[in-house]
Amino acid sequence: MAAYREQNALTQLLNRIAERTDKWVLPVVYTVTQELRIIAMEADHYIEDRMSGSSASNSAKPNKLEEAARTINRTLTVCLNDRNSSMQNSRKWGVYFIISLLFKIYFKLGTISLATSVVRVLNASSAAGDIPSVEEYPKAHMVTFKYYVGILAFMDEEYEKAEEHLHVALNNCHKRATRNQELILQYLLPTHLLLHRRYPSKAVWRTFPRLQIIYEELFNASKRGDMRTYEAALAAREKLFVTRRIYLTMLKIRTKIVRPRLFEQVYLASDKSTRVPVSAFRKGLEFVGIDVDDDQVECWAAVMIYQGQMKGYISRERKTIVLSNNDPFPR
Amino acid sequence: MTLSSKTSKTTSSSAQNSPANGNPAVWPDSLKAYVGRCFASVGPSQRGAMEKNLKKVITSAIESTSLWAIDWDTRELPLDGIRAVDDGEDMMEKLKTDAKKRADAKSDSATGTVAVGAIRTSPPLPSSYKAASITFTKSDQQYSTTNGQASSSISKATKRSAKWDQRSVEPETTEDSAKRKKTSIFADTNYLNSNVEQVRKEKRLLRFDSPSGNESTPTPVATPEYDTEPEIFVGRSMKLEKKYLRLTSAPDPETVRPLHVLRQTLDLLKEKWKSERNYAYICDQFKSMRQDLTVQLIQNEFTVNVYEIHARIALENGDLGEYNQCQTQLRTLYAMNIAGHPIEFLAYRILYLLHTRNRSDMNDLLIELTDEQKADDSIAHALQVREAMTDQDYHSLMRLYLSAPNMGGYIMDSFIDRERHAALEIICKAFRPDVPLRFLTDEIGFDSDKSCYEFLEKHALNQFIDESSLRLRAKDAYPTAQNNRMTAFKKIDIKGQI
Repeated sequence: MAAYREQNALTQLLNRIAERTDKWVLPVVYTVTQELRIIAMEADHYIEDRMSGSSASNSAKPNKLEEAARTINRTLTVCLNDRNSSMQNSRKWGVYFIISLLFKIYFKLGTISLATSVVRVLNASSAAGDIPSVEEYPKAHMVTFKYYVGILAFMDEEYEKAEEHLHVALNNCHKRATRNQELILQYLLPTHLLLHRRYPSKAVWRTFPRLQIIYEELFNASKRGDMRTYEAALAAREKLFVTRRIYLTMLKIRTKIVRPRLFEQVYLASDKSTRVPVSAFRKGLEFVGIDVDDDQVECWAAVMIYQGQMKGYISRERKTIVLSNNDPFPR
Repeated sequence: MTLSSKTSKTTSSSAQNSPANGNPAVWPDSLKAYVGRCFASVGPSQRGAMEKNLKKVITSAIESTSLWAIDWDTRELPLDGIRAVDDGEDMMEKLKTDAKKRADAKSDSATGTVAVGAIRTSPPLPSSYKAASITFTKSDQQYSTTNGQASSSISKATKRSAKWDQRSVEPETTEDSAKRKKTSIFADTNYLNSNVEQVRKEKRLLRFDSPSGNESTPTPVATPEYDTEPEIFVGRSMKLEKKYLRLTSAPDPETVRPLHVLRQTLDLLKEKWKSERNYAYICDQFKSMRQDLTVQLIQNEFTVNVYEIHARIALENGDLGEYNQCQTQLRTLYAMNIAGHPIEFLAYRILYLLHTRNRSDMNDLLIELTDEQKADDSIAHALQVREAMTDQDYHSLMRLYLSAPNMGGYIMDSFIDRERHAALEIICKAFRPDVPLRFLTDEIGFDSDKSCYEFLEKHALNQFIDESSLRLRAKDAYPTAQNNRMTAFKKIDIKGQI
C-alpha cells in the first residue's frame, strides 16, 4: 500500500516536472507509469484480500487502479499538450505508449466508455495534425494501440473497422511475439469468419493451442452447419466469451453462417432441387435437435433471404422455398 | 433583497456613540472582536443562526444604549439554539475542503475533482445566502429598528459568505485555469474518473433533494429553526394527499408528511388508483410522496415499495420517463440491500435497454448477470427477447411479446412497432407472391386481423392488400415497408421518450 502511495506521488510529481521537459523524459515516464499500474493492481489485490469479511463500507475500497488511471490520464495530457515547436524533441512521442497503458487499465476495470472517450480525444488531436500519425510511432506502441482500438470496434459491432485495425496489429507484430499474436487472433478469427466466412488453416491451431481449444470445435461445427454441436460448444464457453465480449459475435455467426449452412445441407440432400418444401427444412433442424414449427422455419428462411445468405423466395401458399438456380447459398 | 443593501455610513460624528447607530464603524473594538469570536466558534452551517442571535444581542444593546458600556470581552457568546453537533451541511463543507485539498495535492484531478466540488458547492451556497436573508428579514420584522442597523450585520455576513464562495472557487483559478481550455475534455474524463466513493458520498447527501433532480435545494437538515432531532428532518403534515411542487428552497416541515402518514397515503392512493384510474393525479401524488421520503432521508422497504408501485403504474400508462426515474432510484436502493423485487426490475431494465438500443450498457449488464439471476423466468424471458432482436427473429419476438411476464409487455410496447416494421420489411422481401392477412396478424404480434389491418392502414400498406382474398402483395409492398422501417429506426432516444 505504501509502495502504491509512493509510486502514485512519484508519478504525479513527474507529471508536473515533465511539463517543462523535452522528449528525453519519456523513458522515465514510461517506467514510472508502467510500474504504477502494476503496483496499483497489487494494492487492489491487497485491499480485496483484507476486505473479504468485514463491512465493506468503512474500510478502503480497491480503487487504487482507478486512481492510478487518473494519474496516468494526466500524464497523457502532459504528453499531448506539448507546446514544443520542434516535433523532434516533443513529448508527443509518448502519447501512444501512455494511451496503451490507459487501455490496459480501462479494459481491466471494465470501464469501456472511458476508453472510447480517450480515443475520441486522440482522434481530435490526430485530425488537427497535432501529433504524428500512428504509423510513425514505434511499432510496439502502434501494435498495442491498434489491438485495443480493434477490440473497441469489435465490441461496437463495426467488424470491418475491427478487421482493419487488428490486421495492422497482427502484421506489425514481431515474428516471435506469439502471445501478442494470439491475443490479436482471438478477436480476428471470429471477425474473419463473420465477415468473409473464412476459416483459419490447421497451422493456426497448431501454433496457437489455446485458440484451438476455444474456437476449433465451434468453427468446425460452423463449417458443417452443425447447429447442435455449435450451440453446445457455445454454451460451454459462454462465460469466457461474455467476459471478453465475444459472445454476441458468436451468436451472430450462428445466425449468419451456421444456420444457413444447415439449410444448405438440406438443399444438397434434396439433390439440389430448387423447390424444397418447408417441412424438409424443419425435419433437417429436428435432426440436429432443434424442434420448431413451420412458421419458425419460414421466419428463419425469410431472414436469410433478407440478409443475403440465401437466394430465392418463400411461397406461403405452397409452403415451399424456391431457391435460385444459380448459387442459392452464396459465399 | 436584504442582501443588496449596503452599509449606510454615517459620516458625521463617527466619534459619537449615538444610541441608534448600528454602524460597525462606531462599534467598540471589543464588540468587533466579540463578533469575530462568535463566528469563529460556530460551523459554517450555523452562521445564519449565529447572525440572528448576534443581531438580537447587538440590537438590544443598542436600544438599551449600552453598546459601549457592555464589556464585550467577557460577554458570553450567544449560542442559543445553535447546535454543536455535526450536521449535513457541515459534511458538505468538509467535502468541499476535502475536494480542495485533493485539488491541491493532485494536479491532474484538480480540474476534475474541483469541477465536481465546484458543481456540488455552488448550489448550496446561494441558498446559504438565502438562509441569511431569511433570518435577517425575520429579525428585521421582529426588531424593526432603524434601517441602517440591519444592513451592517448583513453586509458582514455577505462578505463572509462571499469569502466562502471564493475559497472553494480559488483552486480553479490558479495553475489549471490556463490549461482548462485544452484539458476540458480531460476534465470530463476526470469527472468520470473521480473517486467513486466521493461521488457516491456527495450523491447520498444530495439524495434528499426531490427526485425531480432539483439540485439547488439546500440541506434542510442544517437550519436550526427546526429545533427537533438535529440530523433528521421530520415532517409534521397530517394531510394524506398533497400536490407535487418542485422544491426551490428549504422544505417546510408543515407540508412534509412523516413516515406513518405516508403509509396511510399509500393505501389511499392504491384504492384511488383502482377506482378512479386517473393517471395524472396518481402520478402527481406519487411524486410528492417520493419527495417527502427523500427530504426526510427515508430509505427503507417502504421507500422501495413506493418506487416500485409508481414504476409499475407508470409502465401501465406508457410513461417511460417516470418509470426510468423510479428505476434509477430503485437501483441505488437495491444496492443498499433493501428488500424489494430487484429481479423483476432487472428484467425491466434489460427490456428498457433494448428499447433505447443502448448496446454498451447492455453489454455491461450481461457481464454482471449471475447464474442465479439468469435462471429467473422474467430475466430469462428478457434475455430471449434480446437474442430474438439480435437475430431479427420476428417470429420468436412476437411470441415473447405476447407472453411477457409482469409488466414487461408495457416496456415492449414502446419498441414493438419498430420491430413490426422490421418484420414487415423482411416478409415483403422474402415471400412471394403474397401472404394472407392472417399470417401477418400472427407473425407481427396482433391479436386480431382487425387490429393488424388497422396497423397496416396507418402505415400505407393496406393499399397492397387485395380486398377479396385479403392477401398482401409482397413485392409491391416492399418499398413502402422498407421506408417504414428506416423511419422507425431513425428515432433513437435516450430518455425513453420520443
